[in-house]
Amino acid sequence: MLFNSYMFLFLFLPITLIGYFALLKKELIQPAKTWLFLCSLYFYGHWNLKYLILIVGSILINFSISNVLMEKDRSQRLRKSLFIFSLFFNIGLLCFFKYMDFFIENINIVAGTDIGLLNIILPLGISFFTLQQIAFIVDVYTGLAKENKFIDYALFVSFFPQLIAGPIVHYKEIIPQFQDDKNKKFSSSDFSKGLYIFVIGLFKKVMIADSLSGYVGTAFDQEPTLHFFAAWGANLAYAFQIYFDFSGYTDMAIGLGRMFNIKIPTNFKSPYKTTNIVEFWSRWHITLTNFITAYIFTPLVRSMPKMTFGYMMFSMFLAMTIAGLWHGAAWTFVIFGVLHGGAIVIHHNWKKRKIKLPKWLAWFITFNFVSICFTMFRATSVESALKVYKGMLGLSGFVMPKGLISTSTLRSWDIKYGSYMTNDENLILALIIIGFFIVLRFKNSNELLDSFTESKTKAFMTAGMFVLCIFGLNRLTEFIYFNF
Amino acid sequence: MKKFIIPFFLFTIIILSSLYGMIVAVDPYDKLGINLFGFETKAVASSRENKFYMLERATEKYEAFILGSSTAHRYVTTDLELLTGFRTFNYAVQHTTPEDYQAIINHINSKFTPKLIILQLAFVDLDKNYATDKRLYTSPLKNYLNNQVQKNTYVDNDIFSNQLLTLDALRDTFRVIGVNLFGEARHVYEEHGNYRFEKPVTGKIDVVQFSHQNWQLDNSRVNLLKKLQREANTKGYKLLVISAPLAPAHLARINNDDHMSKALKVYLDTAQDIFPDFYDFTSQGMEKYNTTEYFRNSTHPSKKLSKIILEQIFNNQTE
Repeated sequence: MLFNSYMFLFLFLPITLIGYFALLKKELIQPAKTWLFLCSLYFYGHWNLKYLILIVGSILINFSISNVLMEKDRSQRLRKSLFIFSLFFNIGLLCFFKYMDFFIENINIVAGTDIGLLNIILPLGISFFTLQQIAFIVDVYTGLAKENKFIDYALFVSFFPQLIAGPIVHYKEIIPQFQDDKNKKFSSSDFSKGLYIFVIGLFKKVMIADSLSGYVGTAFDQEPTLHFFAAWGANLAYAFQIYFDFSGYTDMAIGLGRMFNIKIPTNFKSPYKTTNIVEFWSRWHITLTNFITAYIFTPLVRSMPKMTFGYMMFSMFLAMTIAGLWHGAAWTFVIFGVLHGGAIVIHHNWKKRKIKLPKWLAWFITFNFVSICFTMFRATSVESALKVYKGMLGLSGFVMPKGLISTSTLRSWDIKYGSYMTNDENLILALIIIGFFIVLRFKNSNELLDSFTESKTKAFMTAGMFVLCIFGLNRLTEFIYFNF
Repeated sequence: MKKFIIPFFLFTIIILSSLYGMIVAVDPYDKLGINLFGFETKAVASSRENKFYMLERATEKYEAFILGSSTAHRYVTTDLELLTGFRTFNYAVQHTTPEDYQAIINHINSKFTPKLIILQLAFVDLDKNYATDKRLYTSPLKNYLNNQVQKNTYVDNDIFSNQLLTLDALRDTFRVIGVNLFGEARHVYEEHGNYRFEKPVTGKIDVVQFSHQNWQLDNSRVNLLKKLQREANTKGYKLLVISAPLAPAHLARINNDDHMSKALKVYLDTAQDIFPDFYDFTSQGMEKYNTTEYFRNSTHPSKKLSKIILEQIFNNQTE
């Protein structure tokens, strides 16, 4: 089920909310949590009932292992074996569903074999709920986590606002909130804030990201070549589409959590305002960055023979490459990770050598680097990404806007006049300009939430945005991060 | 609660019902047959919807249909009726490509038993670089795109329809209001799909800018046209294809451009090969009609020229 669907907005959400708070009002705490867990499973199973077995099985196995790991009287050897098994189980699950066909494809290429693909459909949210459970198991094993109530654990994994595409939550951030007594009754203040931020997220998704998706799809997937303006348009349109899509989803998740009195951690803090790549990753998909730092980069650094700058950089590069691959089973994602890893290494070297750039230039380089990398991220193949890059370099020709004066000089350079993008060029151009304005000049969602005060004017504005979104719901489109 | 939550839900209900009520009252696509404000012009960019619903509500038993882009708008149905005796509907819509013709013919076949379909092709129709108008995919005709005609699920008086609860419908409603209150009425379709508005044009014929300098033959569209001819043979109606007329100045520009003149020949030869009943008014016969009496601009014939074309075809056939 999608947040941006009539069924979710007008049936699932009101029923779940009413049921949850009605049970809490009667002080039926466990039934209320069970209700929320069952609703979350329904939310997940609505997409594909088969994969419900997968998430329930994964929860049960991880919870059972964690219970054994918590028992201090168990031998260290058993604990270690179980811990390794659980890592293999979780990573194996992810590898099987996400990377098996990619692995087979590459084996076929390298070894010249003809092994048939399994054509496995990626279960929704598997990358997210698997990471959360790995983090939990690691913390239980190292003695940092001590949780053994099944329903709390099950809710931490399956809570529907963050189940499909994050933010990747840590058990410490969620479970205590479900146990806190002050969260066990309806709070109009939390509900107002939740509603407000949810509508902002919905607006970002439905009105901006979805309006860009048609052009991006045509440019990346259908056009055989892209001339200069069309290629830059595609590059920028996708940079804004992915930001408004993913941060819109996150705002909706945070808003929904807040309606249930649960504060879900933030994932974005104006990433397109940043002036270097390290800062970018501290503001883009923050919960993934935190996970990569805590559970991949830090163990890698610790495993190095010495703590030198070179080893640190190598670990950083490797961690970013893994982060790239986490997004999907394709070489484009590996290249995306490598590019970012490389950029981070270069940044640290510049910083070490005290190289400083003017702020505007640093922003310009960072923004363009990020958007160019997102083109690789979006492309369905390396060739498709190269098509866009070729166009951006002007190697596929120029088509000037029709309104401009045709000159013989330009014609002699084989510059044509016509549609400089494709259909909807004015709308796309306007959305790109609006996109720049919002990401550079506006407060981000966290700042808006922090400064939120209840007023009728705000209610009117929010209702207006919500109504526009309702009109846009017929263009039902999935969130980009549902594919990861 | 009183400061935000209750006002939010109240405002939502008020704004939503006001906007939706406005859409229903204006009925931009003539879907419901409601025209509370008596607007002459409906959504300027929605000829597909307008004509689709016009035909859905039709009580006439049409036997002849005229298809094409805006170049075919000015064929008057009574002119064809006088020549053939068939009750006629003009199903020409803006910015068409063969994908539109397939959907429109499927729609016609789902409701009528046509005896004659006149299809006015344009040079640009077979250009690989000329994208199919996305309005086809947002109009109800999208359901008639595939090979088999789907079950018609449209309900004429469905006020709570997904077709109207859309941003497109909202935009088109404002557009209809704007055009009718402040603008110039354009694209008014009368009964039988006839195009009414015909403000006189004076002076020299305006030669429109080429939009297809990189013309390349689209083979998938060629196959689509072949399929349309096969369907006509199977179903037993006559498919008569006209190549849209071009003003002499426009044709001269094409002939002066090596690539374009070759492309035009490819287009005409291809169409000639596909359709046994093909009439070329693009490359010949227009020299004596070189005024704005006959051409509204270099690619759009007037009602007068459209009538002459029909007479030339049917009088020749009679002979």
